[in-house]
Amino acid sequence: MLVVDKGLQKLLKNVNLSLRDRTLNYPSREAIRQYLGKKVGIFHKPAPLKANTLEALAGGRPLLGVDGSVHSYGATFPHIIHCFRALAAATTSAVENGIFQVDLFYPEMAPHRREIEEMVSRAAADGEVLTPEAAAARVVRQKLAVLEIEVAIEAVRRYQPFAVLFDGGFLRYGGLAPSQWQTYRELSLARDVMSVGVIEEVGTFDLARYVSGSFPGATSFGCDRELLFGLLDRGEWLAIREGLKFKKTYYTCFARPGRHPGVVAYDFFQEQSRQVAKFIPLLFALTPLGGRGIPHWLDLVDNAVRIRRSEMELLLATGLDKGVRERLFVPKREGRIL
Amino acid sequence: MQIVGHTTQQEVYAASRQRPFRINELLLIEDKVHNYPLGEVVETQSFNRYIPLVTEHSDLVDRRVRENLAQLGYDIEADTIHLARIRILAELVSPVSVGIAVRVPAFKEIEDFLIPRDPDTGLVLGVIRGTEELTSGLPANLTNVALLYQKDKGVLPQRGIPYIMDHWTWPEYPHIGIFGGSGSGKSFALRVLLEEVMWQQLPALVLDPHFELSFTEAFPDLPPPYRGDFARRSTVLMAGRDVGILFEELNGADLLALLQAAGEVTENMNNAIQTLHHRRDSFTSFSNRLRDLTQGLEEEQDLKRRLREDAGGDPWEKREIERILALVAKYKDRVGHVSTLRAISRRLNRLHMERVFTSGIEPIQEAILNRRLVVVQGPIWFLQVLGAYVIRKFYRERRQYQDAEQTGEEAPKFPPFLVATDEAHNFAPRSPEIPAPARSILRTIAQEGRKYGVFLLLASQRPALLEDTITAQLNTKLIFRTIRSSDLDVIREETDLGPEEIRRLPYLGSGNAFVSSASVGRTIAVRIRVAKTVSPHSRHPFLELREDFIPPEEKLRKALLQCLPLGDFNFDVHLGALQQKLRRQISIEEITHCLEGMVIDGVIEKEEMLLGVEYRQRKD
Repeated sequence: MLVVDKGLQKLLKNVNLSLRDRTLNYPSREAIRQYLGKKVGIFHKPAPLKANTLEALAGGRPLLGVDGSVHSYGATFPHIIHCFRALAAATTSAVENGIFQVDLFYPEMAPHRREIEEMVSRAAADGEVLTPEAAAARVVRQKLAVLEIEVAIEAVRRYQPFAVLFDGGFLRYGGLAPSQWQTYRELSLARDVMSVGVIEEVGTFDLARYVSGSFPGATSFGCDRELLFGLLDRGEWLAIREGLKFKKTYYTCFARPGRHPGVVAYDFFQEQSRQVAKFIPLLFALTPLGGRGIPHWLDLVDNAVRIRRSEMELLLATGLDKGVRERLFVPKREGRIL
Repeated sequence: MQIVGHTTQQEVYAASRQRPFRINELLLIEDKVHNYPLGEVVETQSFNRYIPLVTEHSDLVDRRVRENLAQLGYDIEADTIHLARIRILAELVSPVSVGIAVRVPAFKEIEDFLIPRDPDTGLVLGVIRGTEELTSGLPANLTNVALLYQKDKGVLPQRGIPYIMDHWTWPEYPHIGIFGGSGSGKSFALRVLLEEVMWQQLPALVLDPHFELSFTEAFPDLPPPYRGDFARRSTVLMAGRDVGILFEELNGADLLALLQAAGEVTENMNNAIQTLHHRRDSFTSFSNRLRDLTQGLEEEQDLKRRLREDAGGDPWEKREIERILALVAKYKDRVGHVSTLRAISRRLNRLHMERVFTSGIEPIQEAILNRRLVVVQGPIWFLQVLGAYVIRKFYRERRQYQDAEQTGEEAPKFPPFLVATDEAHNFAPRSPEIPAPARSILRTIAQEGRKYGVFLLLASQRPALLEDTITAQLNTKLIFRTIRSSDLDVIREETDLGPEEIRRLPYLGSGNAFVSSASVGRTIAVRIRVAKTVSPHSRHPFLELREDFIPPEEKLRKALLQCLPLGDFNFDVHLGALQQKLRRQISIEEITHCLEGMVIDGVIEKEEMLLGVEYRQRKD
C-alpha cells in the first residue's frame, strides 16, 4: 500500500489553507462578469450550429489540423537526439494520409553545431548571454515551429481548406519563425483560409492584471486561467474589445466549449477578427462536450503525429549501433530495476 | 488483408481495413516459403482507434462531433480495423513472415483439403461454416447437396462447401459421438446422419427411446430433387409388440439383466435366479418352478401333514404335493427366504405384462441382413435389455462369420453393421453403480468393433455421464451447444477443440456444431443440413390442442351459428340434425345456455318476440 508521507502532507495542507483563503476572498462571479462585460469585452452565447449546416459553411472545402511533436533521447547535453515530426491533415482523408515532415537535431553534428553557435551569437548581438545548452533548446523549439508552419503551407496549397486549426497559440510561431509565419499568414489570407490557434492551457496574465485592483479588498487574480475558471457558461465565449489588444498582431478570445469549467483560448489573425463570431460556433460543433475543449480533429492529428517513447526506442534500436547507443545516449536511469 | 504483429508457426494475426473477418473462414496465406499454407479464422475483432472504450479518462466522442466531422469529409468508420486470429492448418517449421498478404482462396485451392470424397459416396451432413463466400465457385456435383434450414425462413439453398463425412475411414477411425444439450440440434443431426447411413445402405440398428426416429414423413417444403424415399430403406419395430426376447434363449446373466431392468435385484435374488434358472427354460417352466417353490416354502409343514394324511386319498394331489416337496428339498438351502422368491416373481411378472417374452428378434435380424436401418422403439428400460441382447447376439454372429472367413470354416453370413442410439449415457453409464445391461457389449464394440466392421453412433446430452472408455474411442465427435461445465470438461479433454471453440460452445446456434475428427485431424465448424424427414410427433403440442382438442361448447357454437335464427319456435326442428352432427345428446337447456353465452360475447343478437325469444345474426 502507498503510505502518504506525513511531513509532506502537512506542508501541502498549509498550501491548501492559503489557497482556500484566497478563493474565499474572490469577487463574486457576477461582479467579475459585469466588470468584464463593461470594460473588457462581450460575452457571447451563440446558438448551437444547426445539423447539416457545417458543409455549407465550409463551402465544400476541408478542415486542416496542424500539429508537431518532438521527442528527445539521451542523458546529458550535447548527446541528446531530437526527432521532429509535423503533420497537417485534411478531413477529406484519414489522418495518416496527411502531409508529414520529419527532422532530426543532434548538437554534435557539424551543421547543427553551427546552428547553435549562430543562435548564441545572435543572442549576444541582442545583449543576451546564452549557454550552448540553452541555445540548443531554443533551436529545437524553433525547428519544431518551422516544421509545423512548413507542413501547414504545403497543405494549404494542396487541400485548399476553409480553415486551419493549429495546436497552440500564434505567438510561438511568430516569435520563433517569423519569416515562415509571415509567408503562411500572407498565403492563408490571400486564399481566404481562416486560421485558428487553439490554446489548451491559457498561460496569459493580461486580463488578470487588468481586473486586479478593480475590486478593492478582494483577492487579485494571478493569471487568466485563475480568473476565467468557471466564469463562462458552457457554450459561451468572451470577445475582447478591439481597443484592448493584448497580443499585438493577433485577436485572442476565450471560450468554454464543453462541460469542463476551465477555458481555452483561440488566436486569430487580426485581419479575420470580423469573422470570428461566425466561426466560433463551428469550433464548438467540432469539440466534444466531455473533452478537454480541443476540437476532435486536432486530437486525431495530435495522436497521429506524436512520437511515442516506444517508437523512439524502436528507431534508435534499429538506427544506431548498439555500442554507440550505450556509450552516448542510454541514460543510466533506464537501468533502474525498482 | 495482411499478416501483422507477432507470428508463430501455428498462429498468426491478420488485419484488414476493408473487410471484416468471418469466424471459421479459411484464408490462404501467400507465403511462398511455406508453400501457401491455409489458415482458419478462430477469433475476430473489429475496433476503431478513434472511438476508444470509454474510461474515466476519456469520454466518448459525441455523435454530434462525429457527424459534423463527417460533413467535412471525414469518415471515421474508415478508421475501423478488422483483426483476426488465424490458426494455420499445416505444420510449418518456422513462423510466417509479418506483412505477407492473406486472401480468400478459390475453391480449387482448397478442394482437396475440404472434400474428402464425392457426395454420392460419403455422408453429406451439412456445410462447412466460414466457406459461404466460396459457394458460387462450387462445381455442380457439390451444389445444393446440403440444403439448409432456418426457423423463420424455412428451407434455404446451400451456402458454403458441403461437409462430407468420409465413412470409408471408419475402420481406421471408428465410432461417432453426437453431444449437445436439448434444443441444440443434436437429435436433428442424428436424424440427418441416419438418413445418410440409409442412403449408403449401411445396415444399422437404432435404439429409439423417444419414439421419434421414423423416416416415413418427408420434411415439409423440400424441393423434389432433394427428397428421398427413406420409408423403403428403414423398418420401425415396437419392442414388446413386434420384437421381444425369447425366454428360451436367455442365459442366467441375460435374465438377471432383464430382471434388473424391472426393479432392483439383491445379491440373494441373484443367487436364487442363478440357482433356479435352467438352460432352455421356457417362461412357463421357469415361472412355474418359482411359483411352486414359493408355495412349498410357505406351506411346507401343511403339505407334509397333508401327505401324511395321504392327501385324503386323492392320488393327483398326492403327486403334486410330492413334486413340490421335492422342489423344496432340492432348493431350500440355496434360494434364501420366500420373500426373495416373491420379489423375483413380481419383477418377472412385470416383464411378462410388458410382453417382453412374447416374440423374438427375427424382424431385426432380417432387416440387418437386408441392409436396412432398423429402429426399435420402446421404453428405455426395455431397450436397454433388448438392445444388450440383440447387440451381443449380432456382434457374436458377425465375429463368428468373419473369424470363419479367416480360417476358411463355414458360418452363416452376417454383414458389418452400425449401432445407433440417443441417450447413450443411459445405455452405457459411466458410474458402475448404475446397472446397465448394454454397457459391457458397447464397451467391447468401442474397443474392438472396428476389426469386425461394427461401429457405434452414440448421441447424448450428457457426455460426462457416458462410460469413459467408450467416450475415448469415439473418433469423430459432433459437438453442439453445451452449457454444463462438467460436459465442457469432458469435451475439452476428449476432443481437439481449442479454447476459442470451447468458449463458443455455450452460445452455438441450433444446428451448428464443431466436428472434431481424428481422421481429419482438426476441428471443423459445421452447420447441419436440413433433414429430409421429420419426426412423426413434431407438431407443437399447443397446435395439437387447437386442432385436435376443440371444446364441445366451441363445436356447438359453430353448429348453432349455421341454424340461425333460432328460438323456442324452432328448437325442435333443428335438434335432431344437431345431435347427429355432433354425435351426442343435446338438451334444449344446453342450447339455450350456449346461445346466451354467444349473446354475452356479442356474437349474436337476441330479441323478445311475441312467441318467445329469438336469437339471430348480428346486423352489422
